[in-house]
Amino acid sequence: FRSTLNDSGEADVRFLYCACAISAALDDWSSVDTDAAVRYIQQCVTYEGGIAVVPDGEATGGSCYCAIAALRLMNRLDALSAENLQDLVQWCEARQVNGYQGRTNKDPDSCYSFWVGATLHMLQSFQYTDLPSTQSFLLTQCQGSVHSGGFSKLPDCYPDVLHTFYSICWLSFAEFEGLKSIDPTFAICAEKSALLK
Amino acid sequence: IFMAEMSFEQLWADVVPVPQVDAPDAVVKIAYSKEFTNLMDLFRAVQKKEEYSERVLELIEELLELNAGNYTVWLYRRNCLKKLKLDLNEELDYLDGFSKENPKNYQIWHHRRTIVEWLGNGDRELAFCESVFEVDAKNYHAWAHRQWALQTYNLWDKELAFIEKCLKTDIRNNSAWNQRWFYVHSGPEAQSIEVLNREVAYCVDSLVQVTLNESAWNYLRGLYKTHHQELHEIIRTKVEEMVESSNRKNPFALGLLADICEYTGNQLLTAGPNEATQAVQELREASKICVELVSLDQIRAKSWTRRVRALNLRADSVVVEAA
Repeated sequence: FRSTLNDSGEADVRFLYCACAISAALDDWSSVDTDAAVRYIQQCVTYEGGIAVVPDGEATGGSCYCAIAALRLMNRLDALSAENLQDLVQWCEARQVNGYQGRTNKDPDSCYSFWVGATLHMLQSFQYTDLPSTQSFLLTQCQGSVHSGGFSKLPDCYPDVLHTFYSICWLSFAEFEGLKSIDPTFAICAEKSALLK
Repeated sequence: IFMAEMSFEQLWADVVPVPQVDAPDAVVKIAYSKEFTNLMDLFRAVQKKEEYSERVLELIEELLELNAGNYTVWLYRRNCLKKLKLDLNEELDYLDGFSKENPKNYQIWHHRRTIVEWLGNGDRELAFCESVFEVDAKNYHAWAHRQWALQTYNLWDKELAFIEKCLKTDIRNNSAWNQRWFYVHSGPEAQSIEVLNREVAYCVDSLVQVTLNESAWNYLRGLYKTHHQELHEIIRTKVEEMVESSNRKNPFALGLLADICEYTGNQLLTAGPNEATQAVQELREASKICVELVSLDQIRAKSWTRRVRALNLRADSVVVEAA
């Protein structure tokens, strides 16, 4: 088996997730060496308890999401010990300042509500997070008011599709009225992801 | 000089452009500019005939200005560099400039790494990363690139001094703390007790001055968990001191103390029935601290409450066994 790499580009946890998502969607895992993928993810766990994009890197919300979603898709959450998982949940929970920051001591950015929130969701811990503070951050600080709606990365920035999408995903996890349920592993509607299974 | 006298159209007059093959009913069609379409049509023709030349290089530069994320074009550029045997240091000069405008572009960083590998020396890389940090001290690509260069070319010599300079500039720079961990654990030093004690001292000194720096607290916790055998006594002592000196108000200090008590309790549980009572004591202590944190760290109140419950359950189950 080939291990999970992007042939003529850089190799990291993001592509590992992509490979797993594609394999899961097609129900064809012949291109993924799941043992190698699991080992790579284990190497990406940092001293902070989070997961980095590459081994030795700094833990970030995005890479936590990629790693946990990939493990879920491969059905290999056993790759992380109970202690690892507790440390990871703790790291994720510590990222909430009002919105979520992507790394320790950085400013909160609306899309991390999803990357970190979805990670907690997949680890059955979303219900222990504080909903009002993030909801307030997203709705009052990041929502575009000048031109149109949409959500921006930071307060007082222009909104964009990416941050809008991920803010709405978090609002769905928080069971905000009028939103369909989102499957955190694929970031699509739960009713659609059911079709993939 | 000859080429400069020709217009772009004249230069490429011999090439038949190849249009992009889009699906007939593409769902989200990209509204490419006419300029982009024309240049990409030429590029596809170039790819087809496998041409590697000066005019192709110029074409590539134009395309990268329009879209620096076009990884197919970057790959073709590398092929050009190889076929035309171009000066790789000049390529680094080109990249130095281009990265400044696109500091977070994955393709440029990957391309640079490949060029450096071909050159076989990383002499320019630390200085280059430093120039990126001047603009953004937490640029993830730059830190990852730096780590790669340090390890591949053995450039560790002045790294600890560099890290300390970064931390002096901003003690809360989590990327710099992460780099420090990397230096200590993957660098030239063995993790001797002297080195580990030095790390604890550095961390604690920093925390005495800036008590709520989560990066330093995480570093200290990392030291505890990774080197608990050598360091558990000294770290526990220091953390207890900081809990007291903050009048039990520093949520990070309390959080780490709870972690230490829980960790110790769990360790004792595996040690055997003789240690059961002490194990329970530690778990209960951890639980008590978490109760304090429910009020002190309110945004995580539900999480602390859950932890109290889990710790109590664990402690209860031990007492039942011992009886």
